[in-house]
Amino acid sequence: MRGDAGDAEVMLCSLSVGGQMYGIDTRKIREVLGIRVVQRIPLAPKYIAGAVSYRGEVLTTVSLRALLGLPAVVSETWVIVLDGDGKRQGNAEQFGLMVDAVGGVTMVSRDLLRENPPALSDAYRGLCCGAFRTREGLLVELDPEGLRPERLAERMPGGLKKRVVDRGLG
Amino acid sequence: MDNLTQEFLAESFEGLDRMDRCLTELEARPEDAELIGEIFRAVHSIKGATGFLGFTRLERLAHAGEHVIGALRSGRVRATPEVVSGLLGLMDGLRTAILLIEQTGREGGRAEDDDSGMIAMLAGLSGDGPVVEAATQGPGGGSQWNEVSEKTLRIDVEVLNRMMNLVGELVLTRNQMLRAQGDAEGLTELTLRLDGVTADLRQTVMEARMQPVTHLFGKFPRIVRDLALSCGKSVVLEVSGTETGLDKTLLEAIKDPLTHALRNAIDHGIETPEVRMAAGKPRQGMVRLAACHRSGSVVIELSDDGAGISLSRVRAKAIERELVSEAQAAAMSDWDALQMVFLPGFSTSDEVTHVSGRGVGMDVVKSNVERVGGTVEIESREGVGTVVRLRVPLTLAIVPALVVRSGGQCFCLPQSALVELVHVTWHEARLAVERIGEAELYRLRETLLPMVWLDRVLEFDSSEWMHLEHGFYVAVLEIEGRRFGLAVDELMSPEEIVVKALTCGLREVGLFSGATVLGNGGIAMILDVMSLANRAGVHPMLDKLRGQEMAVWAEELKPRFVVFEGKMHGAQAERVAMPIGSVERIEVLSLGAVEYAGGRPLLQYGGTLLPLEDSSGVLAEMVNGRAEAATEMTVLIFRRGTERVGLPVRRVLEVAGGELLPELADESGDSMAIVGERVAMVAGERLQGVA
Repeated sequence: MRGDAGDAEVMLCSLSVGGQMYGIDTRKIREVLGIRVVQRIPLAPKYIAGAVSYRGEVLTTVSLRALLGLPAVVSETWVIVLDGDGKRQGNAEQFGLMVDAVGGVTMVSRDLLRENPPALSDAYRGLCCGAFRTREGLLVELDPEGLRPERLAERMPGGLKKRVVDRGLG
Repeated sequence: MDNLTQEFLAESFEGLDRMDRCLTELEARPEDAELIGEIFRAVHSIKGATGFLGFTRLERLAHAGEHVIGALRSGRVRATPEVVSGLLGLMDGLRTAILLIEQTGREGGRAEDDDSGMIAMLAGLSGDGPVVEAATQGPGGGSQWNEVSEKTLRIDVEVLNRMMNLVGELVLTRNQMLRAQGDAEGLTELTLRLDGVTADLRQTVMEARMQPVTHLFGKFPRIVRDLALSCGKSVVLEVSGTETGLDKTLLEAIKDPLTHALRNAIDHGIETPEVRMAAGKPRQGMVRLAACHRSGSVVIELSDDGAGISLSRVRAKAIERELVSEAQAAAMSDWDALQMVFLPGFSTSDEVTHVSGRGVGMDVVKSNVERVGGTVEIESREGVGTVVRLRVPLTLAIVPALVVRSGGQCFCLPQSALVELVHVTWHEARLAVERIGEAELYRLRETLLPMVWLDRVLEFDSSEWMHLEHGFYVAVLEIEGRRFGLAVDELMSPEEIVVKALTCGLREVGLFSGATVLGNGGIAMILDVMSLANRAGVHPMLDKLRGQEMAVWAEELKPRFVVFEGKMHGAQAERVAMPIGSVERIEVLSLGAVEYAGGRPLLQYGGTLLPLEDSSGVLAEMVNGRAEAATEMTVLIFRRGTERVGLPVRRVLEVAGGELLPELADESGDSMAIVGERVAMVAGERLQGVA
């Protein structure tokens, strides 16, 4: 995370949603599961794509598409397992993140990080730490903490009370 | 905390638990050398380890205790109640000190950690110093539960060996399976073996988690002793079935509810010796605690021979607390009235005692036990006693479940809540469900069950037509005395499922108690039957109105009609209704079965001749071929006076509640009704009038 001031370079795993490139610090990633069918869960909030089984556990899987307010896709989706909260060892909950596709690992220099622009829409605010200007275009760094289901539950308007089933997801 | 200290803590707690049991027994058998030896060993082993680990405070305390017990052993001191009380005090002191180490890692040097009073008291008991009054300890002091022993588990080496062997075999089989790939013949055999080994391994792992209930029961003699003393009562505790095994997690879960029920039994149940003598009962009260295995679950029964629960007081209290109205209370059966003690905030105790009656009542006992999938029952007879029965599953992790499908998705229903399964075929589907206002009811034999449609609760796109077209299944579920029918699309298979906890985001949905990975690799949510009933608005009272009462209630609410298609008017058939009470049966019969006598149609039906009433001409229309290619007809059979008559109809549309509109009756006596929000002719009166 950005707090680690000592690292001049950071390894980001690149992924894409709706044609935009995003990156997540590889240290926060437990495993990239690849193309997976996410079992949708009735009555779950819209931003929850459903559940996947991972090493004997059933993980809540967040849909980045739904979080960004993009329409659901019917095509194949990738699932990444993100680590639990480092500060609360032991009882931290892992969770899944559903994205359109996962690319490779990119090394980027911290110097290139630009803060979130003030005009950033609410959907993006809280999910992103900032953006890197790379040769391929803008790479938006996602903040894994902001994607945690429990954080989303606090942040999303009507969050868990509004029981919406997004039938297109998964 | 290092391993050595943790081991010491776990061992010490176990030693203290043993000492606890022995001390209460010692009071009854003061001469028992074996008991004294056991107590001595417990204190001695604590003392032995403290020197090595450097817990000097604990060492001094244990040393003083050892001295008293040594005096007991040599016969210099007799185990009088004072000595036993003193030793119980010592035990509490040791426990407090060890708990402090568990929490802080140190012995602590706070003012309240000073043991000199205790040591002096013990010295007095052993006859080495002046006699000091035993420090009074609250009854809770000895019953503090500790944390280390809740996290660790002692396992029989034998069980562990078996587990290791099985894992070995599992690895072996896996290796063979890997090699056997492509060799389909060998694979079948290997798969069977893998299945066997896995089942055995699961069983053994479950066994390893089992603990005899004696771990829990062992703490109760002390609680009973302290409680009885502070309430001024005389109580014996009789314990049986202590070897009954129960999953450790469950054992922890029922600890508090059981302790609470025990407190209730002594505080409210058992009378004071004077009252008991006056009632002609033995002076000493009796509390029995029994555990046993019964059909896949563990039953723990706590019974007392005390005053029992006064039903008139329960009723009065419920009215006072505005839980029920006076009329409701009077109409309630005794059983139902007794179950009200489980309602939140209910307590029949007149005054609040320091032991119980602080508003934390049986509702907490119930909810705690239910949280782990158990149930609580209560039986009581005034003047005779009370029985509280806890029923918990053997293990939490693996539960037998039924996999069902709804809206194309699989869900698991715990078998423990399942009473019965009913298949409703497509041609029964229309008539199977009756409506009273908003509520839907399914008639199962003599009972009307509230109906819950799983697909509607889950907010799937409603597929009512599908249920009518293909039929559906009703899973009859019962939880906490509420019985209801859950309609699902399909039944899959019964499966032993491994329960996985839900992570954030899914827990909050509330309708699921967990998730599982099915045999096909897919994820299925486990339905929480309790919240299903709650969310669908199934009230416990609705179920109590069984059979007749319910049917009468339904009739009173709205007259019900069978609605069918009568004569054709151009392209549209006339909607005709007949009060459901006058219809005896609805039959689908072949048109060829109709015979004629003197121009009047007849049917041979059930050994008699059934005249057909065809004043509307439906039958004539069908026979004359105006209705396209009809080979079958639907006949409503009803009674006209003493005679049975059949009424051929085009088809039955629905059974629904309706309202008669007498003001719209025409000159021929036909009346109209609004049935299912549409107008229909009422056929009954005219046809009955024909006779």
